[in-house]
Amino acid sequence: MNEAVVQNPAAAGSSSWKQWLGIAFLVYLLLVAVGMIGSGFKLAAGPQAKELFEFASNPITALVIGVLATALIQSSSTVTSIIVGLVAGGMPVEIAIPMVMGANIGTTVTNTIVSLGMVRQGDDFKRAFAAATIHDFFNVLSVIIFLPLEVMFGVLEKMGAYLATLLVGGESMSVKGFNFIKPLVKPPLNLLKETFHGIGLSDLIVGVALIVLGITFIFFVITAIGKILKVIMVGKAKDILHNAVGRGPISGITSGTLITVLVQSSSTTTSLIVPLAGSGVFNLRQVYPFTLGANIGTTITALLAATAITGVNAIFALQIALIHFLYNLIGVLVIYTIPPLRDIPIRAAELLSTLAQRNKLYVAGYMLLVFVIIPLILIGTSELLF
Amino acid sequence: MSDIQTHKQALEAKIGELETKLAGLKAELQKEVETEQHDAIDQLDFHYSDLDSTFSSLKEFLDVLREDFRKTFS
Repeated sequence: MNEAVVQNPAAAGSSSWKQWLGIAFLVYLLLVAVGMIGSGFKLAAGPQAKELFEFASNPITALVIGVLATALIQSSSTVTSIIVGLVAGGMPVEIAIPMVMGANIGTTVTNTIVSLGMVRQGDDFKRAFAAATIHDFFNVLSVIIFLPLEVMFGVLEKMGAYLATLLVGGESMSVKGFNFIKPLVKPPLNLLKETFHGIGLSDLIVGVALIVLGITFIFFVITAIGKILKVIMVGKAKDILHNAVGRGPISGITSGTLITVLVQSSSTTTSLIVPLAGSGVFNLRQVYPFTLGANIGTTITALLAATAITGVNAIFALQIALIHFLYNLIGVLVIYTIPPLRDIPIRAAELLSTLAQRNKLYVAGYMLLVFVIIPLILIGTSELLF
Repeated sequence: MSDIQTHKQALEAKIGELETKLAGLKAELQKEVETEQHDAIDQLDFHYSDLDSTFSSLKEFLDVLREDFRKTFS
C-alpha cells in the first residue's frame, strides 16, 4: 500500500487535501452542534435552565454522570463538548466541574477494553493491563485530591473565571468583536430555528429538538473526526513518538499531549500505548507520561467547542473549557512531581495487573467496582452529605 | 610506597576500568532498547486496527473469564 502511495504522490496529496477539507467541515459541524445545545436550552427552558440541572447539584452525582456518560460513549471529547453546550444553555459551572472530572475517569474504559484483547497472552496481558489501568488510577487519584478541594474552596472555578475574563474581557466573546466563529455558526442555527418554527412547533419543542440534534451531531462528528485523523495522523504520531524515545518523562508528556491534539482523542493515544507496553518494549514508567499527556491534549476539543458559543453564557462555556484544561494540567503537575503521589498509580496498576494475570475475576470485579458499584455507593452516601 | 598503597591504587584503577566498562555496557543496552522501541513504533499502523476491535476484545475476555469462574467456583 505504501508503495502505491509512493508511486502516485499526486493522488496521495489530493486525497490528503480532501481529508483535511473534510476535517474542516466536521469541525464546523461540531461548532454548530455545540451552538445547537446552547440555543436549545435557551429556547426550551429560558431563565429556568438552571433549575433543570438541580438534579446534578450534588457534586458526586455530577461526577458519576460524567463517568458513566463517557464510559458509555467512550469519548471524553464528546462528553466535554456536550458539557460546554449545556453550560452555554444555562447549566451552572459548579455542576459542570465534577462532570468534567468524571469524564476523565470514564474515558479510561476504552484502553482497558483494548488491553483485554490480549487476555490470553500471559505476561503481555499483564503489562498491557497495567499500562491501561495506570490511566484509571491516575484519574481516580486526581479526583480524590481535587474534587474535595473544589467543593470546599472552588479553586478551579475561580481560576477558570479569572482566565476566561482575561481572555474575553468579562463580556460575551462576541462583544469583543474577535469572535469570527459567530457569523459562521449563527446562520445554520437560525435556519434550523426558523424551519422548526415555520412548521408550527412551540419554543419548547424546537429547543428540545435542537438539544437532541446537537448531542447526536457531536457524537457522530467527533467519531468521524477521530476516524479520519487516525488515518492521516499516524505518520505524524510515529514521528512524535520516535522523537520522545530516550528523552525522559517531560518529553513523554509533551508527546502524549501532541498526539492527542492531532488525533483529537485521548483514548486513541492511551490505547496505542497499550500494545507497545504489552510487548514489553516500553515499561510502565515509560508509558505513564504519555497517558498523562493524553489527559492534557484532550482538553483542546472543549476549548474549540467553547469558541462556538455566543451571548451572555459564552464566558461560562469558555470558563468550563479552561477549567477542563487547568484541572488536567494541574493534576499532572501535582501528582507527577510529588514522588509518593506519582508512585500510587504505578503500584496500584502493578498490583491489579498481577492479580488480573492470576484470575480474570479480578478484572471483572475491578470494572464492576469502578464503573458500577462505587458510583452507586457514592450517589447513595453523598445524598446524606450534600 | 607500601604494599598496601600499591594494592589500593591497583584496586582503584581496576574499579575505574570496570566503571568505564559498565557505563559503556549501559549505553550499549540503552541503545539496543531504544532501537527496539523505534522498531515497535514503526509497527504502530498494525495496532490501529486493535482500536476498533472492542467487541472481539470483550468476547475474548468473557470466554477466559468464564473459564476462570469455573476453575474458581467448581
